[in-house]
Amino acid sequence: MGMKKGFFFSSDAFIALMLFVVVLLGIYSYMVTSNNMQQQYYFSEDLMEVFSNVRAMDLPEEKQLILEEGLTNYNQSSTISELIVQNPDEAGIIIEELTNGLISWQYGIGLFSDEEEVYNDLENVTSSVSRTKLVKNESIFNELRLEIGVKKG
Amino acid sequence: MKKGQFWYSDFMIGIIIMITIGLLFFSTIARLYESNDKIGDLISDGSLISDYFMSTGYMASQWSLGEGRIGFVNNGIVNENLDEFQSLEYNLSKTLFGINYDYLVYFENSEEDTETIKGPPGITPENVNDADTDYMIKLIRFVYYNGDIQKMAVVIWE
Repeated sequence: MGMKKGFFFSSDAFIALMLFVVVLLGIYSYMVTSNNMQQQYYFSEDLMEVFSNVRAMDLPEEKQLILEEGLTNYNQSSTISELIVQNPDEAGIIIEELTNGLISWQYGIGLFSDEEEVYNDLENVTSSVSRTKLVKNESIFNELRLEIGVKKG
Repeated sequence: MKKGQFWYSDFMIGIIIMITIGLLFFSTIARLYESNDKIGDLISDGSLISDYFMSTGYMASQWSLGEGRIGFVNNGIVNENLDEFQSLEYNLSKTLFGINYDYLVYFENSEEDTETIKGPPGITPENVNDADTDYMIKLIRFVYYNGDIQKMAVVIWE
């Protein structure tokens, strides 16, 4: 004797359940991965502020010695940002010496003086924030740009 | 008897499954938005108090009377207002900030040595992650303090 047919199949209901789970996972993953850029904003603002106001003579002696030995144009009365624009080829020494142990590996920094790269650790970086400041370099002004972003992966 | 288009029992089962899915869907989405709102509130309050710290503040001598605005950083450099803030009672500082959440603020140098500035009694940078809460955020600022560039960490939780 043949079975009588119904209108709704159980398989339809299970497909609906699967669809619901897929949509939910999509919404959840979007909400989890939406990036808040507050921390990059603070890093860039604070570092630029510190670099613009702290002089080489204010740093610990061991750091002053490293900078004095590593930089071509070193003046202990210069601010950190002035040292960067006056020593573009050696700016990496300044950045690594002053930010080592402070900025997590998850963040990459880039420094540009008049849009010429002086330090670049921005590979695979996303959600970056940029800060620009005019820095005096002898009788002219250089535009120093600091960019910080989050590294992917 | 004329035949119907579908079985009544199949129809009821289908309706029950659809209602169940609908209820699960909306309750899950509502929970997601609620937890996002909570995190958003914490980020907002955390940003507020970290911005206060990074300002010069005013009427430092009146903070203990509940007046003025807390702040102890001037152009990236920590100033003498820090001493006034350290002597302030913890709950009074929360009142001055206008927040209900608990917070911890501390300095950390490149050697990972920490110095607690203010927080609930017994809470340190080492044990703050053990706090009994589902919602906690941490914001990092950079300042010049004690002869070097250091991190100022602000942890805030419900």
